Amino acid sequence: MEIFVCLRQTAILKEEPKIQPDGKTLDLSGVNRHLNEWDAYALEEALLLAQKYGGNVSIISLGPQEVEEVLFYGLAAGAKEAIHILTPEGLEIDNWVIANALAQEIKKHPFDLVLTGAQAEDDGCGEVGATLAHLLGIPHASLVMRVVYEPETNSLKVDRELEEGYMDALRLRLPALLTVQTGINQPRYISSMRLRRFKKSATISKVSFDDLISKTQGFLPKKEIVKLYTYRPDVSKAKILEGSPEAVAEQLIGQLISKGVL
Amino acid sequence: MAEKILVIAEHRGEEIRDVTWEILSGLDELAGAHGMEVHAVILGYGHERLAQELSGAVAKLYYMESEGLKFYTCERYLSALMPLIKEVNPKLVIMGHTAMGMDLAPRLAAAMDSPYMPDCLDFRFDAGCLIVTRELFGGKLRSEVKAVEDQSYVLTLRSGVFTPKAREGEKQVERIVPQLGEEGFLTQFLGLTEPPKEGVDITKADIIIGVGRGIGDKDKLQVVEEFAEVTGGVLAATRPVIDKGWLPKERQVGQSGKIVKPKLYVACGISGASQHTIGIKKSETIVAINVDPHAPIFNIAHYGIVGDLFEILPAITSKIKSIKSLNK
Repeated sequence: MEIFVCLRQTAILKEEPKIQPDGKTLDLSGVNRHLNEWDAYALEEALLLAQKYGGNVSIISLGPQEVEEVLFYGLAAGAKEAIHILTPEGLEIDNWVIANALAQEIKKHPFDLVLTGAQAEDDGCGEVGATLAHLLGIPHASLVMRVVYEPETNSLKVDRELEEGYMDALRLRLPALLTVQTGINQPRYISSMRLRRFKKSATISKVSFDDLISKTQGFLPKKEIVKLYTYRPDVSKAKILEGSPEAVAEQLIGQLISKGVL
Repeated sequence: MAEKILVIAEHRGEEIRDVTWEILSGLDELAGAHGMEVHAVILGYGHERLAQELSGAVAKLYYMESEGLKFYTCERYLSALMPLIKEVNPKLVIMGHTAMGMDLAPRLAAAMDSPYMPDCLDFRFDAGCLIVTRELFGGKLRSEVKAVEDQSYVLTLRSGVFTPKAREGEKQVERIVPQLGEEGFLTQFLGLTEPPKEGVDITKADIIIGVGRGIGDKDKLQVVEEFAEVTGGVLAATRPVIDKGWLPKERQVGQSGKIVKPKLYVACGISGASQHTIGIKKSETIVAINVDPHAPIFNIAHYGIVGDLFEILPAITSKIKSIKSLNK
């Protein structure tokens, strides 16, 4: 089975994110980044499937130079090949453009299965997976929590997560795309020593975003952020208890006893 | 002719899901301001009663009936919906940001070549362009996102944002039997599994102590366990804690876990992402303990404590212990 996993690098936001003076862009200087949490599960699932049923795992990511980090991480985890679609500095794109660029590149290779995370930590859109499946003309299932390969029909049997503990069971003919939900597996631990070793010696194939799009149309973003602001919870309805831990404990217990809760 | 909005209704277990009614509430203002007509479509098989029920709430209700539509699959829904969308030509197609909406909406938008706006909290039209409000980074930030001008837009609305209300109008259903050419489909629906019933049923507990990512480490659960013991509460957790395997799946609270309504819910190190809070909102009393004074959990808390969980919880635990020993 030839498996492609799409990886996204996401910023790790601390409590107080900084917004640029333009009021619509995030100031990400000095902010650490990592592999999108959902994608880590997708990567692990790909590696497990390849291990169990045979095959190769390729990883692909789109972005500026620094997204190499997640590709080295994927190689250190066990992926065989890595492709980096290098975007020019300051390029403004959306998930539609990302999906189109990924589709252009993936189409050049043989594949049976494409995996993505069910959503990204940053924008939470969950848009790239299903869009990419449409562009590749293959079936998809999202929020997948279990995958079993059925060689006799060249199909996958999957469970996808619904609300409140319900699950749908589906069978998808390959090639197909799955978006993977967290908790489907336990992503392996990659030591920093191993990661350093791969950064030194592993190779990543570079593809220029501009070359990819010059061959096609329909790469214009369909949306843009026009305003960005820090969310402040409305605490007016909450009684905020203050003081030392002992003082807070005393107040809280008093309140809960008087309300008859304790 | 008035521009149209098409609502894609959702149902499970012979009921129209709440989010569909919430969408109708969310559309009242928009449709009124722009003189738009709200239409809805329900896809199913033997769901005539639901179609009737919903038809009283919209200007026009399409009921697409076919055996292949009894349960949701993306392929069959798309195949049925695309011709209808061509015919109705809606300015906006809207559905819930549910497991179904998350699966169907992005693919539908791609097939329509339309902008997709997922998980919206609010939406409006400004000079013909759709502008939506949505969260980023799990609720730390909010954004207004503007779509490029297009013939139509696809949007999913977050559950629980708007309040459903009773609607009584003329009940008229336009029944459509789509030709689904079953052999062309690459996806097969195998079954719907109900939630497993083993383990502790946290929905029956009066006091629930919820643990979030802020706990940091499995070993530190002990502090929360001691607190649960003196209060007679049971432990529950947010998805990330369950994903790490620190507590069993049946303890998961939220959208994909359980909806709980205890007398007391103590949220420990829980930031308050909507996927979790949707499961605890109906608790009688919510206490939140979090180091971040801007954590969204304080939105729905009745009592808030800003501080270190591992200093505050032991203080509460020992205080309760001393009160109990006095009462003996």
